[in-house]
Amino acid sequence: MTERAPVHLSADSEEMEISFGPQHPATHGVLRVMVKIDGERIVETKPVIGYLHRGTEKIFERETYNGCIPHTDRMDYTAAATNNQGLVGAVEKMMGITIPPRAAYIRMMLAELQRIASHTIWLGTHALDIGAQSPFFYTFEEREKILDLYEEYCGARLTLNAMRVGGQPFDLPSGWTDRCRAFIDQLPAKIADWERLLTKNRIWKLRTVGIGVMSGADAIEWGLTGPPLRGSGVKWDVRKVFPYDHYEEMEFDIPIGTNGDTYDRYLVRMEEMRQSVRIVRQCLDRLPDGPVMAKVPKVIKPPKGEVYFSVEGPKGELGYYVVSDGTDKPYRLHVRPACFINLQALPELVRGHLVADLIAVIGTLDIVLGEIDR
Amino acid sequence: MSLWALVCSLIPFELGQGLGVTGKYFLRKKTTVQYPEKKMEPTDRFRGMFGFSEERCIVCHACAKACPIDIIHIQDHFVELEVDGKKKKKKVLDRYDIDVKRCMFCGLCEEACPTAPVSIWLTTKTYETATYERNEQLYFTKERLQNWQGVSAYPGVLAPNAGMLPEDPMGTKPKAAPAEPAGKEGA
Repeated sequence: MTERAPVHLSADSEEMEISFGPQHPATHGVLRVMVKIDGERIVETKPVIGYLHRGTEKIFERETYNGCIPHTDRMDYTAAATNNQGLVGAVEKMMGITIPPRAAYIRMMLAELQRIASHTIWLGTHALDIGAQSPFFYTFEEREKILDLYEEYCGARLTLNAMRVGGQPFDLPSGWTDRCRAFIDQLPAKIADWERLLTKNRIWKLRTVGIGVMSGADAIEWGLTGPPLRGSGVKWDVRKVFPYDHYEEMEFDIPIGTNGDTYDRYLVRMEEMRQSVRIVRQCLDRLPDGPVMAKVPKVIKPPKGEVYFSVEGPKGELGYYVVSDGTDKPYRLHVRPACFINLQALPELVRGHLVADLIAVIGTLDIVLGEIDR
Repeated sequence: MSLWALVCSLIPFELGQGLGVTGKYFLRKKTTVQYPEKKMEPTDRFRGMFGFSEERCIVCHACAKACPIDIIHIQDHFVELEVDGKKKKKKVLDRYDIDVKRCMFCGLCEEACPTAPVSIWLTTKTYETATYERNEQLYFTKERLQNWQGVSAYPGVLAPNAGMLPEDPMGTKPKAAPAEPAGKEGA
């Protein structure tokens, strides 16, 4: 264990401060949490971040707009497609480019497949942290199939670099839609299998029900987005509220929880995977023909100005704030990462719980340190 | 509490259900591949080790400008040629170095290349580039780029100098036309 000896003990209290992480496998990367405990109960937690800081936002400033895209892959490395989608969407909004419908449909498919891939990796690791080993293997099998689809489309499995300003760099390879449909058709049965392992499982319920409770009003106050917000019963999804690409044409529901605990967030994410399957199926049914790239200048020079554009990533609202000074490089490119803002709620969520519940709450927030530290 | 709920709370049926899923997966065919013995074939667009063709390159520096991390170093000079009695200036490549250890295989250099079959491509299916030393072994000059010295090529794929100059390196043309790289021009 990496939990170290007590840092300091005071005579008049039983409180003790321990350092949890940064190399602990349950922190999903290099998160360090300073935990003040009284016996087994958590009194106070303080997340310490920055171990994975690479200065991505500064790197953006020296890159051309298309050169920024491979760097966004490396922020939330479990969801590269939605990261790309946010950046190219912001630049397109700035330049007033309308992408061809086929490109928008391909983008939606990639993003929804990415949401499923991200949620499967979340489910595997979250269950593994809590003590269920098997889902990890089963979810990763499905994730590999999604990565195979990505490899066929853009040539990479993880760091996709699959979108460009103005559309998509490639058309779909022949036979891709059939293979995607075959994958989508068998996925709901697999999700049912995972649910059979966990949803009614009494050990899983003991570990998740009533852990990390947050009310809807509190979740809004903390600025949570994505499944942590929807698990608290707030119906908010960027895809519905500010539709981008062609999400306004898609039929899908926003699953919400009632109690706002870890179990509800689990149910929300499981349902989101099913809704993503629905969206991908609709995209495949209605996939229009035509070009995949709009007419864009070779050197992308957005006009002077500022723009904010956000997409619904698997972890929550992923926003890009681009400031352009009229040159081919962004003057400033700020990222509003979902994980960073969701992590703020960690001390609130674990107060009064046991140390073991801290693991469950870190898992349920679905944080990726690459995005938090950037 | 009803009697059935009491029975359910005492006997863990749902754990048995979960165990059934595990049993189902246990009896299925394995999906893993024993890597060094068995290898999966990368897809046509898979971005792997660089291929580079000096004869196609027109020394325009577009790839070096497109590279987000500036790992392509190009040096050139002009030579004066006499073609049909007219003096012409031609760019000649002195150095074409790629620092592959820093490459993130985004493929932007390939997209920026203006020649018709691109002169730098990543779709070689070759991915086994591990070495014991990175500064020398993973720094590729144009000679090493064209014969892949120090890289174990994917079975069936030839280094660019050995005649492997694909017509459709990006793999983006529809498959109906034979897109198999077979162009054996030059060597």
